[in-house]
Amino acid sequence: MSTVPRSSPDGLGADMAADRFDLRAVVPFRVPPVVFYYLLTAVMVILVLYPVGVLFTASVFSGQPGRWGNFTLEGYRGWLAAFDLIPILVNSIIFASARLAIGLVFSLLFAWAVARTDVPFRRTMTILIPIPFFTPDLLTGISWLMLGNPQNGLINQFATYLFGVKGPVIDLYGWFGLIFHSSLSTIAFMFLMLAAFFHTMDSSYEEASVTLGASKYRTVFTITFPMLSPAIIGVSILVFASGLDSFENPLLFGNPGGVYVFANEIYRMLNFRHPPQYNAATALSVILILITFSLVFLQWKKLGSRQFTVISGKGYKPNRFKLPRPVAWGIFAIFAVYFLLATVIPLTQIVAASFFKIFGVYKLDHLTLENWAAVLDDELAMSGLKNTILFSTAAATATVVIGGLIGYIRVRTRHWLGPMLELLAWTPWTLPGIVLGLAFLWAWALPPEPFNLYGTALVIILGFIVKGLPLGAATMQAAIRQVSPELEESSRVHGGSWLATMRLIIVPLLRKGIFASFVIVFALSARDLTIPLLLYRGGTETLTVAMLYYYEEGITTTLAVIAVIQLVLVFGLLGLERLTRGRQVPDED
Amino acid sequence: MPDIQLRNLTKRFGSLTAVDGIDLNAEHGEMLTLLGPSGCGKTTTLRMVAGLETPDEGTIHIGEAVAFDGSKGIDVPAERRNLGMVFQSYAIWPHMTVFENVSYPLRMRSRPKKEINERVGNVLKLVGLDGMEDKSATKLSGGQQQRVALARSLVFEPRLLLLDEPLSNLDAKLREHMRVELRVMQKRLGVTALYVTHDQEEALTLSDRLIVMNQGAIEQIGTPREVYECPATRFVAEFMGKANLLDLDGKPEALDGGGFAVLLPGFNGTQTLRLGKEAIRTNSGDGAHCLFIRPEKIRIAAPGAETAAGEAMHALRGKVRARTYVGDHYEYLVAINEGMDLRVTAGLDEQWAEGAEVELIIAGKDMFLYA
Repeated sequence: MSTVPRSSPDGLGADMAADRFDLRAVVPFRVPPVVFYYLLTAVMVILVLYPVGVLFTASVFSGQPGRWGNFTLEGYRGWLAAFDLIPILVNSIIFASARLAIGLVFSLLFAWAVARTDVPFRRTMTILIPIPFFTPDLLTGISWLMLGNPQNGLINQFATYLFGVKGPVIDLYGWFGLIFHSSLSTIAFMFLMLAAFFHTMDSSYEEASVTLGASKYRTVFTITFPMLSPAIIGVSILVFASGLDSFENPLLFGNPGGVYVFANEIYRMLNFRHPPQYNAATALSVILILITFSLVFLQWKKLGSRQFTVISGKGYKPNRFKLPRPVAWGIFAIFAVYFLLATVIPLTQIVAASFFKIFGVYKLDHLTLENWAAVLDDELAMSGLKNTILFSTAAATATVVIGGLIGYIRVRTRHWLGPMLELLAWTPWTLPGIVLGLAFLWAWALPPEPFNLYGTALVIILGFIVKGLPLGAATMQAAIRQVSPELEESSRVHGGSWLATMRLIIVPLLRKGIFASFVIVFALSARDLTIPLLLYRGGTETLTVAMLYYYEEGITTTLAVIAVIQLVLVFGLLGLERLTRGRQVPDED
Repeated sequence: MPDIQLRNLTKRFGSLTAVDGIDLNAEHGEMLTLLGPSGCGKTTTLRMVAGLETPDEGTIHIGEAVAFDGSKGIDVPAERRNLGMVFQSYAIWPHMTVFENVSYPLRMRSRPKKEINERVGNVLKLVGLDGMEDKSATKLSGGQQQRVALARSLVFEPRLLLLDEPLSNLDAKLREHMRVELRVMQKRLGVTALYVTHDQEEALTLSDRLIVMNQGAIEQIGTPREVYECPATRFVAEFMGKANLLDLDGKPEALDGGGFAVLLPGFNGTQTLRLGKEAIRTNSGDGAHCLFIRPEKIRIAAPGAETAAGEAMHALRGKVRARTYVGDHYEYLVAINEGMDLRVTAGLDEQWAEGAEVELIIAGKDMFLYA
């Protein structure tokens, strides 16, 4: 004990804290945290690398999931030697390029307009343009096909009924529908990515150009776009790669029109051939992985180092270009048409369809709740709803935990496994959904009981976790980065154990990030079709599987109800997340 | 027994040695400041004492107990070292009220409710925040957050208080005010404090003793006056306050009677400066030396003015090159040779025009030589 009297004139009391340390602590028996890092890495390797490894191996075997068969290069030879790959590759490139070109034109126009000009209703535009990114392609796609399929699409029926037109006025099967519909969500995604860059760019660069005599429009092309070109190119590569991944659009619009790209071709090999061509599908998957991986790698190199060069840390004053009114309203009109096509028409259509007795006969006396009542009794729909909620919740929870741990190790420690774990979490980004599904099919049919997860709910949940990891982990990492390490250290120094610090400081401070991460992964899982489509067995089907089933069966009213349920599920949570994000803690002044 | 004892404390980050085997003691009730430029290892040293960084070598004693001893494998975790700390960002938890923030150390020590309420009340009164218990921490001003951080680090009466640049985020006026208050409070509570700052004015006014660090090593330990007036090394001389450093060509020559002489070329021929033997601050006698004089130790006079008797005074002929008005004094730049200028501070009573010939009067004891 200290011999110096410790009482103070302020009556802060007698000596309370022992000057000696707790003896238990002097010889500490603690599991070094490094053990947990290795454990987590092992989990990540099993989740991410193991299925990919199995997929690569399986591409040179003739068997099917659960049975290797013999070594063979037939899968690759089929694609490469017989030039079967060429039409697939050409179609994929045309599809991805067209989508990208349209996306680029409109997203640049919108992003520039809302961030740098005085276009009317720019706040509304900023909120509404990204919506199609959040509405599942499966849902809006089906909705558009209800309107525009050549046989009984509503638009065609009306044209015949009203004007006596013979034959379809609009045919969304094939190339036109494929590119048209997938461009809608591409514009939304690219806008979401690019608007941030346009917003954060320091306007003094543009002002300098104008003071030196360049016109406003010239400045856009000589300064604004070139300065943002690293971001624009990076986002473009990403969008091109995701065009190669896209499954729902090729399935819905491409299949009936005979347009095959990588994703629906792989699915065709598996589902429309008897027996399923596992070897060919797997080889094609490996080829697709290699292509997307190189593209994403290119994007990393492009965007990685230069991403933030034009974002100055200081608060900038956005100086908006004053557009002549006709131009401003012209841009607004383009937005209005886009919003109508991408959101209003497909969503009202599907909601309307769920409340009318007969699809397409929208008379008031046909209004009914029977469709909804029927769905309550529908086994497939109800099991799908239950599974979707269950699987998505489980996957989102697990992803938040895994992503949080990875983010913590990455941000707070200097351990070499940090970047490794981050890279592992990002790897699924390069894996198209259909490929991931196939890899999981192979990988989890292999191990002996009880690790054989073939046909279980768990394998779908694991698939959702892997699919959600890139965004889920990134969100958690961003959240952790925003919390100053001193807030944790302060707890440790003032007597908080590791557990107390976690419970009382870290988790409460991260709750918004945790919620955001949960919602993102939940939404991604609830709308995902590819993973459950390849992995479900009786009893583990999801809402998306049920939707596709009823679509293919042509039972439109049930389908519409399921679609609305899914919409409510995804948007309800996203809305909730936005609401909680809106109530920010006021900044310190 | 000193309250903190660091022996051979070393910390490396990869190939960089952030703290290079330092030794220091802090006596009970002392305010000890670690001062240095960013990257000198002062914050790392503080964090090692707190238990937030693990040293690579050396020992840390806090009071009688060993907090860290690398060779014996002892490393007491931060939460058991029982010390208070004020962070640079204050680290006030935004999701808690003032009361919840300040009571945290007591709650972690499972103190009874009654005692917690009493102690929090007392310490908030001490820092002038009584009645603010239920306020959300984010609704406080910078200065108030600073006080909450201080209250939180004092509420459990730690033996030792660590402060990591606690005033650097406050505006200038408030900083000066808090500096005084901090000093008064620390003396009143008799707590031993280790204070990290890169602001030399703060270090000079706050500390009982200060430690100047550079590149992971200690350059000088001493009272503020010792460090300011007799810098131990050229680094300290340059780092603390304003300094004139003149590079000399020749070596100092020893004189009979203990002193020595250096040669300073000037407009009026080469002058011999006679300095006492304590003026040589570094041992290496060879090679180039530089002469150190504080601007405020130089007096400007008219040419040929008489120098005060009783001290070894030197007069250098010079020409005023520039004069700057700095509010409470003038700052002159006086050339004593081609390319050799001295900065001189002088009162407002006398003015010397640019271009004027002047005499600079300097006492021998105010000049130091560094290798």
